[in-house]
Amino acid sequence: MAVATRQVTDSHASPAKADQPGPAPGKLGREQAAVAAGQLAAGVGNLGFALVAARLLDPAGFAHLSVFLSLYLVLSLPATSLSAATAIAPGRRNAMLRTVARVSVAGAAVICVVSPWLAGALKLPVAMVLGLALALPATSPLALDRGRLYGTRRYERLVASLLAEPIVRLSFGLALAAGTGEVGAAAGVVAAAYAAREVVRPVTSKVRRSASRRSGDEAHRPPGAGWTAGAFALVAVVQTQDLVFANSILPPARAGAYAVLSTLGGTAAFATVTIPLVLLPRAVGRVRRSLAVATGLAAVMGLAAVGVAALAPRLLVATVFGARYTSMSTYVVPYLIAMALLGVARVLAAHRCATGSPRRTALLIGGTAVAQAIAISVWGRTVGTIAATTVASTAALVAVLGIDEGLSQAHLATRALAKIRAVLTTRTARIVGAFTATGLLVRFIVLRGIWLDEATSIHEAGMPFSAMLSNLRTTDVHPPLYFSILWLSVRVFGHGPLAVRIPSILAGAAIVPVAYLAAQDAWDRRSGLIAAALASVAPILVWYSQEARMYSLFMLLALLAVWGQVRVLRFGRPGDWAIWALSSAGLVWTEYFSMFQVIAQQAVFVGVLVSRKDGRRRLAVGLLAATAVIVACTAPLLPFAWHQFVVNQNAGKGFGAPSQVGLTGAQAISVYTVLANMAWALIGYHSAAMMAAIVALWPAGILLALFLLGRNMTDRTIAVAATAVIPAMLLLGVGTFKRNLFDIRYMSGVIVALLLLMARLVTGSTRSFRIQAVTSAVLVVLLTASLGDEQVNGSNPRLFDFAAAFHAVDAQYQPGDLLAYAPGDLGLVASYYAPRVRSVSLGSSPPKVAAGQKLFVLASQTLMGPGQPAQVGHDLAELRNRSREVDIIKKANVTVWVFEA
Amino acid sequence: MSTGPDATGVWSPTAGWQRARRQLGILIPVDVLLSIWYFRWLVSPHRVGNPILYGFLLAAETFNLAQAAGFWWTVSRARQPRAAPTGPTHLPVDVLIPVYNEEPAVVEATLAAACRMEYPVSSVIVCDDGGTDEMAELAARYRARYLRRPRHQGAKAGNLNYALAHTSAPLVAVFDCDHVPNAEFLARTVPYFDDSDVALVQTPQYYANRDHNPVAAAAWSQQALFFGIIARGKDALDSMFCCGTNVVFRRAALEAAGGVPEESITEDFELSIHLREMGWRTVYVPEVLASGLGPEDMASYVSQQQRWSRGCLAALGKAARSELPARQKAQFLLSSMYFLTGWTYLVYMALPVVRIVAGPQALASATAAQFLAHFAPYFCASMLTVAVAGQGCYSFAAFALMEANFWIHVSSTLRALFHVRATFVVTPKVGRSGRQVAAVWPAMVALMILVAAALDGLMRSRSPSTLNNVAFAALHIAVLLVGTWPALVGVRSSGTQSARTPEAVAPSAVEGPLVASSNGSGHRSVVATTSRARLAPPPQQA
Repeated sequence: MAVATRQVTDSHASPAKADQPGPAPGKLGREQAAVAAGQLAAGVGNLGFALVAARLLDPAGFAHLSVFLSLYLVLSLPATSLSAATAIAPGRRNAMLRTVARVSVAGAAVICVVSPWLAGALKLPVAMVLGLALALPATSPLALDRGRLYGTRRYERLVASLLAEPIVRLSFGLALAAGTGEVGAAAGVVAAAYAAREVVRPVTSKVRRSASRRSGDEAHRPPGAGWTAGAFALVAVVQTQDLVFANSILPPARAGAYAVLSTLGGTAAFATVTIPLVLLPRAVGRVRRSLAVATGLAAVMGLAAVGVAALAPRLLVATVFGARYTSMSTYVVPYLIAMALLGVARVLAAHRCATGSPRRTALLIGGTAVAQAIAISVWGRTVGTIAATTVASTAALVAVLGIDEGLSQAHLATRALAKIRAVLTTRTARIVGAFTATGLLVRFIVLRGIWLDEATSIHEAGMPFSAMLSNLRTTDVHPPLYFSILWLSVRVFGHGPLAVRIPSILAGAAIVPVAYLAAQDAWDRRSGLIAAALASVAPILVWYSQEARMYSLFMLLALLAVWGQVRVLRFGRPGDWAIWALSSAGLVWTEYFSMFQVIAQQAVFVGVLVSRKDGRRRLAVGLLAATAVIVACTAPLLPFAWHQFVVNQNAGKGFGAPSQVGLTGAQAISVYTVLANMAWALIGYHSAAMMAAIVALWPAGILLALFLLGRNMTDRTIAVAATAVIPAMLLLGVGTFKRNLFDIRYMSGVIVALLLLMARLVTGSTRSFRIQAVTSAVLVVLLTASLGDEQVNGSNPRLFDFAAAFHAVDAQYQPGDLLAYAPGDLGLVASYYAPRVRSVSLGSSPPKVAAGQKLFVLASQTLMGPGQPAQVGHDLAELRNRSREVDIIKKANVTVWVFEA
Repeated sequence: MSTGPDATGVWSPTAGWQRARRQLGILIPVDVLLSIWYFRWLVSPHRVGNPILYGFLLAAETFNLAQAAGFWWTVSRARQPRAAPTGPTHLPVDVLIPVYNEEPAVVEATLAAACRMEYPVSSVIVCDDGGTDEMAELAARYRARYLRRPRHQGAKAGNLNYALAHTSAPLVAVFDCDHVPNAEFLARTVPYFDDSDVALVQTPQYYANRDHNPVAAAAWSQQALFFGIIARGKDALDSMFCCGTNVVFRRAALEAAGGVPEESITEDFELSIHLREMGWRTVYVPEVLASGLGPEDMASYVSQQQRWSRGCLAALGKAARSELPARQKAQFLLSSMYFLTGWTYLVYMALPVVRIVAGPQALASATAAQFLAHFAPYFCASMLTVAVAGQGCYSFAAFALMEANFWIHVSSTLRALFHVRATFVVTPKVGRSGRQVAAVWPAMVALMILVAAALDGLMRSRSPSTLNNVAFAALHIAVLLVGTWPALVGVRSSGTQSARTPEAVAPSAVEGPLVASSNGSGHRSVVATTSRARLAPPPQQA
């Protein structure tokens, strides 16, 4: 007894007290999951009650019931906060019960007295307000006894109590609702509370002994128990006050609609409410990893709820609440995100209360609640603004509590920093740093101007954020992550040609150290160093690092995903799974075709699961959890992607990207196309003649195949190879239907995987350091030479010198002159480089200018579709007939004809 | 190279085969489909460019397809290794160690191990065809019988027949003098003779020096594929043949066959055909029960390959004429015809040279891309099948060594066709250091022709077509270079032979014959003082 008490006391006295090993994370997770499952089942039951009630009652009646339920929640959640107090100190249950019972009865009496006025203010029937008063004496003791069960870890009885409530609501409550409307339903809710109370009511003589035996001195009062209860009550306020405000601010119909949102959100929050309570006794005991397990579970459950809802929010709302509430579907995902954040916040609050200062925690939460209330009062005029304020409030709450937790772990951070410093000062780190610096420098030497796709990116990033998202939804074919980053970037660095490429440059430079880490973890240090060296100058990596598009980020995330998978296969730690899952989710948010890499990596995991003899269960559990995270993180993207798909299909553009350049005339995928893409992946973009010559050297592939004979591959090598092969094969399949989709850009993950394999080929083919060094040096020299050719050779079909061409036009331009460009997509480039120049797309007949004025015709044949070059030729001939051709300006893949009328 | 090392680190022919079998179950049907895809395209009349070159190409590709199909068929039949009989068989065994002027140090390790076998051996006989007193003294030291023929005829076969005439045990085990048997060798093989139809039991020829010498490593890589899944497939098809060493014969079967054929230089292969014709069975035991030495320099390898290819090609007619069931005949034919493979390399090397120098090409109406689209899947799937079947044992070095010695197959074919008399040449047991360019001169000639053609092509044109042929030439140049590299730079002995001195082995002998040493100390002293590579403990010893 004394030991437990001393633990509590010491924990408050000395925050830096060492953690106790305690049960394994698996056991912690299981006890959390068992209670959460009970809570989830109860939540489903309560949701079932609400949705059946929604159909039994008319909208006004359902709105009344929703408000009643919310108020019941408001009353019972603070009461639930009492659970936190008894979870920390189960022995205090009897002492608290007396006070709580008195306060409850008094409170009920007050509510009864003021019920007519309260009913008017809340727009509720008086009977329902009286029901609330009746419930009050049951909810508080119920919460206290549940807390005692948490504190003594009697989870079976606890779960029975959790399940008792929905059972009574669904049976007795619905029967009453059918007969007497919303008042009867409310009566069922009150009855359910009493039923649950009976389940947890202890046998008097046993309580004291049992609680004392399990957790501590009856007479001892743990410091901050009251503040802990207050902190939990304030979290409940943050969760529910938006509905109360909405009911007051919004018109009844919209308030009812907001109640739908709140009901869904409440269900999600309800699912995670047990997690902090299970955590509390463990946190008091300073059990190591208890916070990580609880936070992880809360995050996973919250994200799972988000993911499920995001799959089809409209369908969900329509099915559960009826078609009249579908307007709320827009807000479902953000609101559920808010509730997921709230679940995490509650866990952090519990941990702070148990290991830090409950008072400060309560004050922090209280401050957030006040800020939320003010914000809703000031800005909350619509469902959207109230919901947005709730999201912001919960995010702020997590941030505040997270920072507080972080500050309390400062000693750990110091230790981690010392470790990082030690790593960074090693010779290897210096070498990798040098490669990274080289990579960064090379990427900053941008020799080419903005081209068509980049101009599109810049145009979209220049819009207001919501307009940009809307524009992406309706006109683009890419996910919004990169554009969101670019949107922020242009507001920091501006719209200059170099500035807009900064996100790509930084992502590209980050590839270098990540390549080292991935290859080092996959094989060895030498492989890592070679991979980093190759990554610093690899032409294709540099190319896309200098383009204001998403491909550099795609490569970085793809590499991170490879690294994560390699680490999972090697170490299998939760952090490794997190790297893989989050980078995979990030990939999908960056480029849809990266889904192929996710599929490839899943296939590798399944293969390893089948072939491995040991550690299968651990791998399977990790894979399931990580996959759930990926699904949850990417599910919100589905409606966005579906909308893009539908819009593009309806527009007759399919899901095709801009025409692939460099392969004009090739309408079907050929072996040449495949080889050309492979060559691009390895040595970047070059002139058509050089590519034809390089592709002709394919027998080197036979040599490579022979060379690989007899070389065993570890599962990590197989994983990297699968990332190189499977996405390419899948995209090849897609390309057979839509030719221009088979492009190296859309399989950027293949590039980084090939780079890693190249490094492995060097170290795996010989053990001699000298040969490895010479081979690596030769490769770096070859790649550097390729990089030079790629960057400066004007014959490179992907090199467009629009900057020089438009500047030449701008230099000669006089008011009244006109610029006509072809293809029509060049308008955004024109407005970027020559905003003052009056410009039009070159149509079926050439435009006319007044006598003495100039007409500039700017065309890029490489970018034109079938038939367009002929049309431009026809227009030019007509212009030559009717006006004087005074100049021709030729730049890389761009030509400007200057005519004078 | 891990055709499944077992727990002891020694190669095991059966490790991981279940997984390989599952993978082959998918790969082989894919191979068949892709070969149809390729050959359907190749044999189209539109494909004929220069008719002669096309004919050569088609013949080479057809031959390789036949070999590949045979390989797929054989490996697809490999099954779970049969359970070793555990009967109380204790038939007397004579152990024969044929010797022909080898170093006594080489023979001593084998002799010592033969005397040490955990089986009531009737006698261990050193069959000396060279006739040196040192060998007689060595045999005496180990209390082994020593036989020296008065007339040296019939090479190894004659030597064995002479020994058979002077011994009487119902079973006869034969070990080349550089193959050290495991103590359990007889205990693991003799029980198979419970079946009275079994004429011989063959075990793998494991090269213990594979990690110490590049030539031995490459040669082992070729051996491992054979003694791995191929031999097991042949065994399942009742077509395994005798490989000359690490084998136990039933005397009755040998006598029924008229002894070991003396007119052939691959007496073991012809003997196997004959035994099968008489209705005897052969058994393959996929366990490493003896450790031998592979050729350690290019001259040794060439010598070995010349003998095998000459002998097997000479036996081609016998195999074709044999009165065997079709599947067994097909298996013997496949084994014999393998030594025609060098011709296909000659064709493949010649085609780009002819195209670059003279212009004509084998294929017409086909772009490189079309060829690649049909050839690459077939090629890649075939390579993958070899890799999976061999479980990584078959290496690039093995392939390069084979291609670099293509000329041996060509030469052997011509000699067989023109009935040039073959002589039995004993494979040298001790590697020589230093360059051996003479041993690979035909490959060097081919290499120089290819280099000249490639340079000529580059100087004439940089068109994709020319570059493609230059790339093919470069491919062969690279393979030939890798294959001949040990001969060009000289193979360094890595200690395998240095421990094979009488002094190194002598201490154990001084203590007395090991056959009498039951406490194991003699065993340890041999292990300690003899080459680590040579006596790398087989699984049963470890």
